[in-house]
Amino acid sequence: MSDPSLAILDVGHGNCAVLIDDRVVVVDAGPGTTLLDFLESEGIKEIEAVLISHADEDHIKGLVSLFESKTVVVRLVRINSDAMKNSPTWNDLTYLLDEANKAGAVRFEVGLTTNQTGDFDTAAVRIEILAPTPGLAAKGPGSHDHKGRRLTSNSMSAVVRLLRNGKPKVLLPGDIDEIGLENLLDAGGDIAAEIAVFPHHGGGVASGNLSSFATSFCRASKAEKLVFSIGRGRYDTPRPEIIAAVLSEIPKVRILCTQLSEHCASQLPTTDPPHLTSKVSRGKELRRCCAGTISLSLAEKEATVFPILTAHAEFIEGAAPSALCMKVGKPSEK
Amino acid sequence: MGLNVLGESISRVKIIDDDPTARKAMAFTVTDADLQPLPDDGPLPQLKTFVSLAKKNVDAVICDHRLKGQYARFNGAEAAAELYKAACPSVLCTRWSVADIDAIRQYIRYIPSLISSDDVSPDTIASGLARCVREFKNDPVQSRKAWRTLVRVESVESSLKPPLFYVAISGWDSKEIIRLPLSLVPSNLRRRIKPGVRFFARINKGAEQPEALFFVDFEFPTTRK
Repeated sequence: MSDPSLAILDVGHGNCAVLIDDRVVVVDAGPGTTLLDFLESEGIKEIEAVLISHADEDHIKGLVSLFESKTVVVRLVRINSDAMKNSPTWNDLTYLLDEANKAGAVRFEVGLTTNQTGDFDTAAVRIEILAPTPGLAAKGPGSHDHKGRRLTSNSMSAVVRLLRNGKPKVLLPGDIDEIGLENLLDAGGDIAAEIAVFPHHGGGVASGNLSSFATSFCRASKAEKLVFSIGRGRYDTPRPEIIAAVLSEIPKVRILCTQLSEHCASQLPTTDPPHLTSKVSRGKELRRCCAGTISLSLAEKEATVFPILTAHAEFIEGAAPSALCMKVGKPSEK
Repeated sequence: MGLNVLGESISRVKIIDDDPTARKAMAFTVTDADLQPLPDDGPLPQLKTFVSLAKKNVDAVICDHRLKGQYARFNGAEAAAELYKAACPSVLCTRWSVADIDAIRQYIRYIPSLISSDDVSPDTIASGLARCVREFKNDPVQSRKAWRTLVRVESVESSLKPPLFYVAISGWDSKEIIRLPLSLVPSNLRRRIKPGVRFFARINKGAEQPEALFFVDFEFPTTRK
């Protein structure tokens, strides 16, 4: 039997991951049509569950597209309520989900908390929901935690961890900020994982103290590989202070950005990079990819990463003269 | 000399522009793209004849949008659209894509390669022609694939000539309002375009710029707004 796989899609600025095992589970849907394009190219016609970390546009727009298109069957959608959001996208998504739920086309359920751990497991992958707790989810964005700190949509991000035979493989933390992370860790949560997606695309956090947040996250996740799901030219990500703190905390960490940050290369490559995989990537058409869409084979021992790390390192050394991830040793030497 | 795009060979490229200086400049760029430029000094025949001659005599066409005076009795967008329907690759170049968008919009479905005059280069010409060939082979680039999409009508200006309406497409960009000519909607559905109404259309919402969006297959829900 083949190993389950996880694709961390290059959706530009946003998050979307697709777990493919005996069933397909999607965590966040990104913006735009990349998820739709990916599902079509992989021949996926049915999704067991879509789990949405929070209601920000760069995590839900792809779900709007999915329901609009009617090209894929979705069995279940789970999302936390967010009374603070009044965006047109959020309104359209709830409209579409309500309509689909009414027609019996999907089970639309509100609430994605630690109580849902195990509810979406596939044959080989355990799916844990590490945050928020039901209590925090009940209070919701706009309320305050037990320390009196104001909770934002990001603080309330659902944090998902994938395990294979009890071994933590991948952490998908949405946009969790320092308040959300502290609440998670204070409650005894364990976010250790072989591979982690860095929260909020390596962008700003509520307190503005990027370095201390990055240090706390790295210390707790102990990740060997960190993915930054970024859109070139959007929001100045990943922030150099974050990468510096990451490399200071875990010098041997391997960093993979989905797109080529302007911090790393002021110019885009003039030829198509040959090493990128054939997987659908948002940045491919305009040559904005760095790693592009990242596919992980979730083997029991160690996850295999595509594009292969050596080819990705060679691309960085050739195309990204000021690569942030090269500040402490070349990627190819890690 | 020439390009090979997905097995299709392109070398002879007709250049359509009513400005002789612009034709000459474009010919240099086409040459730099390793293609053979064939500037057309006009006047051009009727559109149907023009397309059938182009299909017969050249491999591709590069066309300016605004064609004035006696040079042509059609504009570049009309020409590019008809060339597309005849499976002849073309690139439409214009400084007027924003200013003329209401007139161009109805043709965008058939114009894979609309580039600003400022962006014309051997690379953009080659990639523009490649986009056409990919569509002819039913393999459009991500930004040209059409998906069923929810559209919300924000306002209607039916007294204008031409009548216009404004829509929001949150599946594309929730902050941008798009202006569309009412003539884009099939005549039997136009009366249903009212502020607050939601409908579906197939839209290439992978496109980055609002000028690149096309709308086809309009569909109105029957249950509620």
